[in-house]
Amino acid sequence: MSPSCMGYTTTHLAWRIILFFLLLVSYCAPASAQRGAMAVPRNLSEMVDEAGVILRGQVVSAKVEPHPDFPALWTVSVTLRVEESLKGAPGNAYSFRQFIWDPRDREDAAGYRPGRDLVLLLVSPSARGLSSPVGLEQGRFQITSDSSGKLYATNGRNNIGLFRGIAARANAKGLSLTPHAVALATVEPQGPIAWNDLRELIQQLAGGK
Amino acid sequence: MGHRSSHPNNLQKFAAIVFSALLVLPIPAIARVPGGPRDVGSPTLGVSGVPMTWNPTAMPIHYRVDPGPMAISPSGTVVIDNAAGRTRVQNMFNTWVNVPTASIAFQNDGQLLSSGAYTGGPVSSGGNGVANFNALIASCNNGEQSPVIFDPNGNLFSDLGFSADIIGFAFSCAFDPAAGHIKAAGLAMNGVFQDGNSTNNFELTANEFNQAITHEIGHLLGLDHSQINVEVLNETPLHCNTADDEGLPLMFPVLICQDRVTAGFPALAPDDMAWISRLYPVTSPASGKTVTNSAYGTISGTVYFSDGITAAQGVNVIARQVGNPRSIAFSAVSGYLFTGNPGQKVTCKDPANPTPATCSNLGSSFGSRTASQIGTFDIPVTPGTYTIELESINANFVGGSSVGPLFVPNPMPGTAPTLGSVSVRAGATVDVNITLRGTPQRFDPFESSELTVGDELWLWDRQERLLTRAETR
Repeated sequence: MSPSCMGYTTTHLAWRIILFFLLLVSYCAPASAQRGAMAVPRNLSEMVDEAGVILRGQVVSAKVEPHPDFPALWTVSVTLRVEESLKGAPGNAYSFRQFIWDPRDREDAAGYRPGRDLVLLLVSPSARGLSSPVGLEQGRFQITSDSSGKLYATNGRNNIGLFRGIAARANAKGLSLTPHAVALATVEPQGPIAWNDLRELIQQLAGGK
Repeated sequence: MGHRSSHPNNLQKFAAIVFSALLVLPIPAIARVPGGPRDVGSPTLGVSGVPMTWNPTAMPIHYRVDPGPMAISPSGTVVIDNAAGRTRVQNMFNTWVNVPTASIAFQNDGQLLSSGAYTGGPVSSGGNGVANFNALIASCNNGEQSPVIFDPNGNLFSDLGFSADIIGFAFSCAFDPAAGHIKAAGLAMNGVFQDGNSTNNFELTANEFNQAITHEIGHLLGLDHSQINVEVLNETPLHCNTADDEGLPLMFPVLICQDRVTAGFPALAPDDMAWISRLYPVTSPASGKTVTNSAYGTISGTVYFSDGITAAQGVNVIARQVGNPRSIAFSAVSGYLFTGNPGQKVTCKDPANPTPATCSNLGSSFGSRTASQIGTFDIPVTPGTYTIELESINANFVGGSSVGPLFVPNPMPGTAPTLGSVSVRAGATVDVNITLRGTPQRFDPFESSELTVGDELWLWDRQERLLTRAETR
């Protein structure tokens, strides 16, 4: 190790711990996902098609607990206050249960923290009452805002590939995207995208207005 | 010094305030441990600061396989039968076993053991997939067996609430709490990707599927993700630059390039082979094996903030071989042995006896709490001459895709200094401590950092600041 480490003191330790935590706090976290699974990349159109419920909401609670019928399966039971509903009928509050298999997901509720503002593209609950975001981290967007209050959405892959091929797929499905939506879809995002834009695309890809 | 020694109490109070504030602030989810080893022992699990692996002295790793087919078509025709599936699995395990400098062995002990609701037969058949899976997980958690599960038509994955794009996953079941060894783990794979039908569902080539599952087996063995040649994210998917693909670790977090085998490369990249050899070293000559220390050296060090004292965690350090910088490269993430989530006990109801019930965050079960490991790295390399690069972990690699100890990557503070090349011999360790430039200041830049570095550096640093100040006027 560096010789400078030999000058290590309690004072340094305290400052280092403080600095370490403040750095963590200062960094705005995108939505997180589950660990240890391999998924193929999906674009927004594919995810909208597979999702049974699409909503924007705030996490009210996230409880890590065994599945009520299958106790060896750990799950996180998430309840959100629904701010906007884009597909399905989630109501004012929506709850779902997600299977988690990695011990670390049990420690942090797979990243579902109360108060987080999320957009979720969720598969319909299975016969066993389990659901998850389409493509895991791909179908889970963290909403953040800038200093003016404008909202942005970022999924667990930093939105890479999100719009790839969606205009062609919409055409193939007979969906008529507005010129504005087509213009949005031709720009490959890498990083946060305006929530208004993402909402517009989701609504049109879902066959809405 | 007297001034400094009067600080700790105040600092500790400030630390307590910061910790208290953390309880009401939205901190990022953090828990993942290393970029190299996947899990590292903590003060409460295994050996603190030691990567968690299967017991190298108790090889082979015993596993049992689902007796059903690996893939069936939507019409019900068996596409990959059980025998072929078992061979595929064995070959994928052998990709790791055949690393000449790694001491790993697997043994198929036969069909899955009956346990609880699982009474034998294909796991996902008859609508009992989740019940069978639950029973097998329980058995795995008890350390009774390490199951390999086929989901030939995706029904089990669907019942588990997954979307159709999940190829497979690996799971850890049981650890030896004292030694930190993995006692049991499992693997599940979705046969839909190999059912010969690309009309109504996803389809991968055999090599692509094997690569995905072999990646999961890497996790099962205790490997985390690695980030090398991250520039492939900006290249055409499935048509990456050849040299970039050659050096791209199998343990890269996402599928983005053409699969390695089809591209004509070994299934494992140099970084994969180096790290599996580090976790499972060959310590004495054996048939078909090479003693790890005779084939690898190490580049070790610590990444520091500009003060040269404060360690920086989460910086990706890459050693690129001179002459083959894209195709032969090795990496580690600074602070890979230290936890990404140390937790805190300050606000526990009974700090002297913290429990999960009385504390809101006791931190991760994994990773060292030894402060001197916050910024350390150790990169196993083949003998040769290397340049050292530092970079941020890509912002895309979050949560399930994370690389290294931080669940959400922090951008590298400041910029990397220009580093000369280093030569490494087999069995030798070269120390390279790295001080970043232009990082944010510490909280105490006017005292401790300058009091603990040599006078010459302090004077030089002061002179540099004065010059900078004069130039900016």
